[in-house]
Amino acid sequence: MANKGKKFLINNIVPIVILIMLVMAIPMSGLSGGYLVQEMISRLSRNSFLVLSLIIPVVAGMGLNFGIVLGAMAGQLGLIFITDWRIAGMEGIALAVLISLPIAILLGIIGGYILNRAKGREMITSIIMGFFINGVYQLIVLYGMGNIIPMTNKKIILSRGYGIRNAIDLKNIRQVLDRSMVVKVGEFTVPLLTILIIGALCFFIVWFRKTKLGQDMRAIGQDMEIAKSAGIAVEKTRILSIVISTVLASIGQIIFLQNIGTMNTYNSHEQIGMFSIAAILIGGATAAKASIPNALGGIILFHLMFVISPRAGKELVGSAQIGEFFRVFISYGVIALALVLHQWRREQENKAERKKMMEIQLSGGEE
Amino acid sequence: MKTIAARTGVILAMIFLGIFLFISGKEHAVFIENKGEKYTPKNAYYILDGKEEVKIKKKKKKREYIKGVNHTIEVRFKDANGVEKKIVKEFKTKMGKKIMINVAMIESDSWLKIEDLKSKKK
Amino acid sequence: MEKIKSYIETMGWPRVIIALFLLSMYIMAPFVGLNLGTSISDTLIRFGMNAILVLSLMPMIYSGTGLNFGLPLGVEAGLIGAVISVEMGLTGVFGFWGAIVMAIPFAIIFGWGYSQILNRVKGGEMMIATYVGFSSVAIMCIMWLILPFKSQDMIWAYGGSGLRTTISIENYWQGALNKIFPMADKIPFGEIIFFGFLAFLMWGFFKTKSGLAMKAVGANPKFALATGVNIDKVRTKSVIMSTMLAAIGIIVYQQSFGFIQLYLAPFYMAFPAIAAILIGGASVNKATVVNVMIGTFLFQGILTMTPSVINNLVKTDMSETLRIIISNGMILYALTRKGGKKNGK
Repeated sequence: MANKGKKFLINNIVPIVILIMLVMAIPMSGLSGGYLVQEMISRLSRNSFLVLSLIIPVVAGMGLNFGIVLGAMAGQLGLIFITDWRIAGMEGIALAVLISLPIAILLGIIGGYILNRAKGREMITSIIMGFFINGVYQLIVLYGMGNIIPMTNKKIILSRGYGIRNAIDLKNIRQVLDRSMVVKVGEFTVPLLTILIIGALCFFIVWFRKTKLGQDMRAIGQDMEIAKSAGIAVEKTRILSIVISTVLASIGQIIFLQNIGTMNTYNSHEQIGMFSIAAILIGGATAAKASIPNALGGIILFHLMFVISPRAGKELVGSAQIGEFFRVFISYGVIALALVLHQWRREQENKAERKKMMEIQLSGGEE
Repeated sequence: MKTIAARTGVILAMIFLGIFLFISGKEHAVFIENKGEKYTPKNAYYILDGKEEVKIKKKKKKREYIKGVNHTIEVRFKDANGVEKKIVKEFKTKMGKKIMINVAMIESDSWLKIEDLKSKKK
Repeated sequence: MEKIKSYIETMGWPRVIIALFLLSMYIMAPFVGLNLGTSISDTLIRFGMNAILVLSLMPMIYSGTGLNFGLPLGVEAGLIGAVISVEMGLTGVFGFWGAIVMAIPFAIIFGWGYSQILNRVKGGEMMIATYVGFSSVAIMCIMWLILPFKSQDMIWAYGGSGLRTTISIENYWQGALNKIFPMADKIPFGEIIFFGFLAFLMWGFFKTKSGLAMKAVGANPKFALATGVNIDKVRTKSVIMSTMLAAIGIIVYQQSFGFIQLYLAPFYMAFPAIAAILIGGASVNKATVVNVMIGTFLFQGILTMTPSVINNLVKTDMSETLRIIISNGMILYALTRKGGKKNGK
């Protein structure tokens, strides 16, 4: 029926628009299909955990949690320590997670508390919060480490004697998760263990939604007042949703960095927030509703665009530098577009609601 | 009461897990050299913990990183009479101790030297 | 006691705390080896540099279009005016006014386009504004590379094409506003007077019929609609006004700073301005000229003083990191105050 089709179109307008843009751009870029598929496999395995960590706060009505940057920083602190102590392999990854856990929980509690005091403005507050904690992170990592915080591995310290270098080679844990279990599908290499871990997270999210805590969060997301009168501890639950998200983000960042093998101490976490949120928005999520298909589909769409646009820009205009700026423009433009379309969609829904209400009123008013 | 006990239990478990991971995951530096008293083979080969075989020339020193506590080293070279020798020895790495292995002396008892780790030069 | 308490309450605790903090910085200055006179003069100079950018937020706040996170858009218009002025070789006061005159048409066009987007997303303006701002910086980066500018002072040396990242206007119109006043390098009278002039215009505007209509649209859209006001048109007007002021603001900033900064420089410029106006006591839908003045002074004061004081105390240069912590900390402080009207994400 035409109505159902129309509804599907409206609900998924963002990924559809992006898909159309991509279909036009792929031939322009000159990249082969095989290359793209392999790239997408590795990017999915690298980023999914992080993007999936955005879902729970959305369910709890906290909007898009730009504060996953906090979790990323916690994960990085863990990695700095295990690199300093020279812990390698799976043990290194596990220990990094173990160390970042309390940090992530603490940051999550702080983040949740701040967001609770900025109800109605959570998203913009979480952006600023990310900037702020980044400053604190810099204070610790650039000034404290090697100084007040004892470091033993001189290789990762700056030449002035304290502060961590800009780029750390994570060679003791590079690709540890990815290489441990590998499956070859045709000509493509699939990092099985990582995929299994991501699958486990998906199961966790689905299971979590059914638990009492998950239901509580959904209730808060729908309507805080009603949730409160139903006896739900609104403040605490909101904080909990941020804590979970932050912890997941710290694990996600560790997975991300072990894949890349190098950590940009002061930059790796900054873009993570933007890119993960861009991905989930492009996948059709909104500030009020996000699901696993949104996350995974969004990663594919966003990263396809990410890989293709500099090439397409270069083919079109002939300069790699312009291609780079073009990519930045597309990334942010797409987020703006997704937000605009989301708002437009909300307007349509509200209009349909009002229309329905009026019809009920009118038909009820008739004797 | 129960939650405090549960929480302390979890924290203790995490600490123990952390310690275990630390010990079993820590990489230690091991110094390998090829310097014999009476005879030094021109080329010696060693395999640490089942990794790839490494060649070490006469009088050269190498530094390797190995993870964990228990290790084996398999050494192979031609001795003074041209006879191919292959010896396997086991050793442990300890925190704060420097391990030096002389492959040329692998047959005698003085193949392994343990020193206290001095603080690294800045 | 009660009187003091109620006075503080009207001022708002955050402002009092920050003012006291700033005061303590000034007091500490001589003890850590900083010249008090220089410190105050530095603060005033930074005030002059930034005040108009902060002022530019007013129209959009009143019309309910939210905090203008898309400020970079206006800044880009100002940058275009500035580079055209240098390209044309204008110097001194001509260069300064030339830049403004050239920037205005771009500001109007950009502002109009921007307002069309914002009018379609009522309730979610702030987030979208942020990303419109970011995208515009990125697109202008491409423009700076491909637009056909020829002035030797601006393009890359050795036969490169495209504009340099930082362009010195020392020989053009640096300090143009203050030259005619005494103590030009200590107290920026020119900038302060120019700001005062624009602030006066703002204050006057909001007493006119259009200004009141704008306030009404923000405060009570239904009422405004009932009195026959075209909401979208008024919002558009406010956005264009904000964009024009932002363009003028960046030109004043540059003539004080001495450099035109292209490419990624405008990226985060919205945040300090927003921090300043929030510190000054403004909220998401109410901002007065007094908010602008107090906020800019407090914010720039802290931004100037705290790193210097702490650097001298600890003998390390931590200015960049401290700036990040302070400016964002202040925005957080302001965002988490109770009693801002609930607004879209």
